Amino acid sequence: MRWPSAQAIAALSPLPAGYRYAQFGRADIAPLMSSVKEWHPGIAVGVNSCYLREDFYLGRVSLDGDLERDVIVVRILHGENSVGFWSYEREVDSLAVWGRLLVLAPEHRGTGLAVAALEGSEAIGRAMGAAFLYAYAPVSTPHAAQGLERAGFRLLGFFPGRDREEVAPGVVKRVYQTVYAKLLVAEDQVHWPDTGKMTPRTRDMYGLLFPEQAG
Amino acid sequence: MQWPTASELGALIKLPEGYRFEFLRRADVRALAAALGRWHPDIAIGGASCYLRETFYADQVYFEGGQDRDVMVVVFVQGQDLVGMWSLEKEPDSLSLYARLIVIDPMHRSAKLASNVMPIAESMGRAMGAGLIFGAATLKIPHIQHALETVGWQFVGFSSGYDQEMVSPGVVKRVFEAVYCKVLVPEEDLVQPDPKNLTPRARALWEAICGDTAPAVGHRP
Repeated sequence: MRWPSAQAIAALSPLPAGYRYAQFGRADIAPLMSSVKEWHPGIAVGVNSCYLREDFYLGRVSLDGDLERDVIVVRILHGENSVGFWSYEREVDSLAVWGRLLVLAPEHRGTGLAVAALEGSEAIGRAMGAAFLYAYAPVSTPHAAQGLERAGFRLLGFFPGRDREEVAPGVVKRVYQTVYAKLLVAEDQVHWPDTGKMTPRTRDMYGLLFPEQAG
Repeated sequence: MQWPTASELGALIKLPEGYRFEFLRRADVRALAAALGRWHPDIAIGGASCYLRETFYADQVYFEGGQDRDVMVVVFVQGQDLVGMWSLEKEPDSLSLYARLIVIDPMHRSAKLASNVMPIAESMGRAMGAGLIFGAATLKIPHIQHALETVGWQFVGFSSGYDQEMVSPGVVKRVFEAVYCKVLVPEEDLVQPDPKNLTPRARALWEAICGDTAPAVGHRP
């Protein structure tokens, strides 16, 4: 599971006119941390707060074309201006890819960038040999879940307290997240579970989420 | 989020007569990896296959007294023999604890070591300042699902094809597991979703999981 280059990503996941991808490198770390703080202040708390720490990039993120690390960041440019980025994490042993984060400058939201990125994620995953794509969506707004559903992701779970957020100035609480995923393999490559091996609770939920398999 | 010391852990874990636990020692890594391959051959493929690689322990596992790392491994011992292991991973940024793996030597499964440590995970999480503990249960047998439900863990969804496993000799497929969690913070520190922000699908799942007790989800006894 090797990350595609920024050039390959451009072909696999095209952006709306006027926008383009750019490789992420060591020199981009400080400007990106500064931008993300401004574009998405809520990131200061919770699982993605690592995107505000330099050591995270130096230790875990693919930089300057080295595509062998588990986390990738791809910048989105409009003209010469950086207007956003997305980031995925690969899980090689599971052949899975976690869509960690998509952050856009407020003035570039609603331009189709998020939809294009979500729709392109499947082609990127397939190109690198992934079998499973997943993402968490906050429930504080409907937009992320709507975008994932439009892009063909399936709802798998409703996770109480999965992350932390600053819900008011200085007030940090645990929040729910929904979980969405897309399988990138054929149905015959899936070992569908036997409902006879489930508890009544699990069986009920399986019937709700996978009615076509539950019978 | 600091891992407990062996003595702190000892105060939490009470094992059946004749068994004890220890933090994994570097000198035992090779023996544990080999034993895991015998106890649970299915582990050779998929997300937990890292536990068969010595480099995983060298790079990511915490050893008592050593550098703080996110993965902890405890081994169960009878006499001088390794008879099982339990591994947790901490996520400091989300103050969460992930119950990654528990494997017991088939010869010792009747001792119910696994069900002894499940309630301990919650105590350990609280002691470390975690606000959430979560893990996945196999759907090959119902026992782990029952055990988690019995100790008050909440079903939250399916890892529908997230991992791969050898389901019969030479046949590797994507597999399902049931995901459970327990919220460890007081109810007032968990923000309830506003139904108007949920898509129709998410709302249906929310109502099915939470029903009339939505505000108490994750806090059921």
